[in-house]
Amino acid sequence: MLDVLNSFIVELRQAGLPVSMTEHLDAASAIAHIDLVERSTFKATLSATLVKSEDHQAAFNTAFEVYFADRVFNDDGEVDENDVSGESSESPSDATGLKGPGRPMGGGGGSAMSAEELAEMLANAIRHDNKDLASQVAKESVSRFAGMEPGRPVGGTYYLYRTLRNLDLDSLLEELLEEQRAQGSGDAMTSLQERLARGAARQVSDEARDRAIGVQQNVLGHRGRDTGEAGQVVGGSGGHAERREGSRDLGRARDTDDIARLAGLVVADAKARLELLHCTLERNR
Amino acid sequence: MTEKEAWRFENSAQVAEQLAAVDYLADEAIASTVFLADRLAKPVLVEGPAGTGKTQLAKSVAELTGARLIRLQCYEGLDESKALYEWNYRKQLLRIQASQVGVGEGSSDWSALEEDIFDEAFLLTRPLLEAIRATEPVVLLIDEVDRVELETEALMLEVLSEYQVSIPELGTVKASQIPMVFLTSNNTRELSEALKRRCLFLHVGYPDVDRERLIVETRVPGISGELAEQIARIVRSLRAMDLRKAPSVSETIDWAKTLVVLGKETIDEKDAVETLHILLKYQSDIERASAELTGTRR
Repeated sequence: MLDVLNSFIVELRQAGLPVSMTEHLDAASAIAHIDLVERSTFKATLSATLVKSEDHQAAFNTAFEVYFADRVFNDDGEVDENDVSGESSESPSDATGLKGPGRPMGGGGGSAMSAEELAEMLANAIRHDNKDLASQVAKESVSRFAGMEPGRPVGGTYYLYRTLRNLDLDSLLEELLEEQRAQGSGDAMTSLQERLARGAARQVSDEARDRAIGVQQNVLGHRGRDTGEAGQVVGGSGGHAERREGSRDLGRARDTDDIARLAGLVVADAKARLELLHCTLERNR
Repeated sequence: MTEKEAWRFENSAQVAEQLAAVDYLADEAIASTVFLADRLAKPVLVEGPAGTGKTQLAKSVAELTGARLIRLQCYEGLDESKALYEWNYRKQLLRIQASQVGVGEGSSDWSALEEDIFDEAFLLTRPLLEAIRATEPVVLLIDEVDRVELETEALMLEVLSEYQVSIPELGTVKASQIPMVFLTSNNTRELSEALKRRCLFLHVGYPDVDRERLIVETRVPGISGELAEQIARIVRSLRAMDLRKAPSVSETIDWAKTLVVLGKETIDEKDAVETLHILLKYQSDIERASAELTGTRR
């Protein structure tokens, strides 16, 4: 459990949330006190210990939903609508931060493929255990974000991300689940196959991560040059420090924040796919 | 902190249940945070728009735990002597004079006297120290903490993390029991990282229609279910409008009470428009809302 928490916090940090060591420890000791079966309690617990500003709440909610994607629990009819997450997109005070599915602008930086096609390709890649193709798709998906210009409204790209996420999680995994059921009828998956499938998914996730970090660096690098600062990015975990540096100019920091968050969420998305795939496999055994 | 019997709650569901018993309807986030505040012995920073029950939460928790509520109302200019403690200067002076009269000149031992006048008997405890020194269960409410200056905020850190107060002349006063601490903020300014780090964070926003209806039903006895439902829906639609000041939950409750006093079972647009001034506090808002209510609602 602590490992899971650890990596979730890494995701949060990559998404631009400043989670301190103290907060990490708090969360760790907090989950010792709660019933982990209750997903909403778990979410509220992490939220209370890790999120210290309303501006970050929306990002946390998205990250949580993606990272601890619960298609498995959903079968029990768990409805999350009454959750804080359900309200956040409508509450009037939510005007900061992520703007939700705003205007569908930003057509994806000139990429020819539609989101559906990408999703289909990814499904194929995982189905046939084609790592090259999978990473290709990952590159393709993320390169759309690379087309993002500094200063360009983030709402549009965020919309794109949502499209991708919805397509991938809802249709792709349902599809895979369906297939498993159809052909497998029980113990179709051997442990080897499972390992391979997981490997493929992990590959996707790693690619996406590298790319996301690349995007982050790119954007931040541009900024540094534009303003005449030395925009050197230290490394993968440099996002936080970068944000700090950028915070001299509030408007700029807000932008950077959003972009970092966006990039982090792509990673979380890929990761969620892996988890879900794993669930599919588990269930079929 | 590690003694099991010292814990106030079993789980977050129990918190919600007990809060409901004192007429406070908590959602999962609220219940979990209160539960964790007890388990982790951490203060809770409650943030959100005015009138959404932030202060009431502290009061309700005090009520259900049978604890005394100690309240520190924050304002600009609040300082140590009003928040923590103060020496009773006049009493000290009197003491000095008394000793001079009684013992006579020269013979009074100054160090003995000094020790004497910096005794607890001359200490005026203010809310923070009072909460720390209390031997019975207390709930400390630091209301509208965003109003104090950064320096005063820093002053509270020792209390919030160590549950102790250092008084140079007396030493350190440690809490004999960990009080539950609630800080509320309307977010008029960003609080310091140091403060946030020491607290659990809870954002209380406007409730959804169902929860608001339940809140109205619990807080306004004798209201019909239909009226409560209508009220919740109207308020919801008003909040969706671009008003200068959206109606708060407490204003919703006031409105519901008014309608009940007027003997309404259901509400039509005429009633709504006539009583709108209870819900909205700006004339421009009232005008806009009236137009909206008479225009698009039945």
